[in-house]
Amino acid sequence: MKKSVENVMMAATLPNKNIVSVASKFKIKKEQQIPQILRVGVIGVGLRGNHSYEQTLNKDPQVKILAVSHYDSASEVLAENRAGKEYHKQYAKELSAEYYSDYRSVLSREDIDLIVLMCEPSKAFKLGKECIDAGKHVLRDKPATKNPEDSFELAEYAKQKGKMFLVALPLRFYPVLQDVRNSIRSGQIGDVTTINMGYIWTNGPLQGFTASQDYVDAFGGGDALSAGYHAVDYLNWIVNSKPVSVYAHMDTYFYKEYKELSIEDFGQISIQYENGVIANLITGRCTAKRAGINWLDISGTAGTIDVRDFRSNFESDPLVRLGHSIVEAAISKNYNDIATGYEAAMTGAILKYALRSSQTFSEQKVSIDWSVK
Amino acid sequence: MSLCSKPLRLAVIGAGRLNIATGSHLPAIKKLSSVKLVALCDIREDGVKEQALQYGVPYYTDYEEVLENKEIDAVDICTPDHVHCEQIIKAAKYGKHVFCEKPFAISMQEAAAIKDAIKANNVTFMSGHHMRFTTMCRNIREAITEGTIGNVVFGKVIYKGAFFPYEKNSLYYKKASGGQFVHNGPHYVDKLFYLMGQTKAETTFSRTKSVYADKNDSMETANFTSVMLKFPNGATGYVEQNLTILNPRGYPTKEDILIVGTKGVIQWNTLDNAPVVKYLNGKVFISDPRPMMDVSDDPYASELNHFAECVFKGKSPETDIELSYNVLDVCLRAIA
Repeated sequence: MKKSVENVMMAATLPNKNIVSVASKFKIKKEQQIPQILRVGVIGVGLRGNHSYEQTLNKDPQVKILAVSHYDSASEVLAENRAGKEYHKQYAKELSAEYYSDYRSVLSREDIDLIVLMCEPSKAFKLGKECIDAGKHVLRDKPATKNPEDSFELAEYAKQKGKMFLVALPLRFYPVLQDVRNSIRSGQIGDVTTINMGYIWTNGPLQGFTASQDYVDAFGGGDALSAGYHAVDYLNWIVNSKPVSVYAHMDTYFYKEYKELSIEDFGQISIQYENGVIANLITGRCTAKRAGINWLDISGTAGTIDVRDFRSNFESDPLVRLGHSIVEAAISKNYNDIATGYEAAMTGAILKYALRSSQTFSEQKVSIDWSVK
Repeated sequence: MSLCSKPLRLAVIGAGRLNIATGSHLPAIKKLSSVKLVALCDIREDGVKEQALQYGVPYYTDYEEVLENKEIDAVDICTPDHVHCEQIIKAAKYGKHVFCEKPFAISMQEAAAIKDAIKANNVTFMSGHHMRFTTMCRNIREAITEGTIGNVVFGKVIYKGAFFPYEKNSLYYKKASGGQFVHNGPHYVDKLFYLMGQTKAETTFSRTKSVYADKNDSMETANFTSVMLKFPNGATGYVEQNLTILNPRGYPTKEDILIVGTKGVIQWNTLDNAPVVKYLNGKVFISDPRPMMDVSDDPYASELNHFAECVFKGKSPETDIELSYNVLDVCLRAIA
């Protein structure tokens, strides 16, 4: 198999997922729920915020977290330096889980079904493979891997081994954004013609955060790529078509060290999809001291949808929905709305094209080698 | 609004039917002491006669006769887009100052010829971009120039509105108007230029799309255009004109503005009843909701008053030939 962005684009459109609204799922009576428990191990317990997806999963009554560990001694030392010597042990205790100093001990436990792999993207491919080899499903934060090709390969590897490679992308679980997607899928607004989306993080530059070459090497980019990953995944999800062309402006406006490292913090990305949809996205992080700046305007031949501040407009916790979707995927093989590694690969590939476009000031035609698969 | 002992003697050309002249310019001129309406002109005699009676001024059916009248200082051209070039150049040759509704030309060849004529005849030229004269725009620009959001690094202007069909002989077809983004796009491009404090931009990328219920409704050009811009100071911009909303038919016009600075952002949109909202240093400042246009604050009156002021003082208008040329350049490159 030739590894390339083009392979990724082709395969990412393949998963045939069962499309069911999470909102309707939550109306299922308790006795009808699958009575199984998802047993979870965590590799990578650094200092993170709400993207610590083991905490998300832990809110679900069908989840039991059994074990936690760091993925290497460097990350263990880093966490201890920041939060104290017993931080990791305390964290394990809070989750009622056992702490292991070597992640391989977590992998060797036969009673663990899924690993929440919270490492840097540059380490995700190798560690992800080890998890799959150990017979575990894998859940990743975004970006799933540093390169989209690796996401694709990991997805293929998991498939061969009968395991799941899942990626937590919360925008799919905001009720208003699910409504939007359901409206589109049900044909309520006819054929989608154009989309304008804004997904801009605020309160930057983040306090205490300093970008370094190590950071760039591990993550592959700055805030436009990071926030953009969420938004592009959502766009792909609702448009449900292959991208054919990408153009982007990526700029560095807010972080001095980003400039020195030539990574971006703000950008515009324009995607043309095969089904004719034009999606224009403005993303990144700015300094405004407020909740994120978000909007979504969708034009269709039979209607139009305008959403403002979609992150503050929900009646239930999207992360709880996200957690339950993971449980459903892992236990009942119903992918529901959770992103697959293939989809993450597609998102990563679009962002790679976007970066290339921004660096070359040229539109990137997304060519797919259909004969590869 | 008196600027001089004598008002600017202005003739309006293209005032024989319901259009921007009769609907907006003539009522605006009535409010100004700096401008005196002295004549109207249109090839439709019945229409212009009716307007002339209403405003108590003489009328003409041949605009060259207006230009020959030495009692007229300036002309306000509100004719169809494709005749602007010829009329502006002739007016300049007659030494008339020219105010022309946007787009002042429909090709860069026309724009260059107009530019030459304006310079050669040393007359004042101003293109009608009334949106920058709205209270909303002035408020936002004022906040920016006061430095409240730091250096502006990004701006977007989005205009989304209902699709509307075109009559068979409509003057909005490509031949007469250059197409939708040439006819209407200058509004939004100029607005972004103004808010960003810029007078030119590089068009780095654009996408267009045509969405019509019926091919016969088509204006022969795209009714969706999005364009990315790069300004000389390194800031970037995004303009979108989306007139594809087929359903519902009565979809209200929606405008959305975002200006991002190094210290904060300013957001404004028509869905929120038009307040100016500033997010600065952890605090939220929201102005009283204001309508975009009202009797006391008519952007058309403001722009025509600005034109008169520039003529009297020998100043270059905000939307002079250079800026108008650059705005048109963005629009034409976007649809190229």
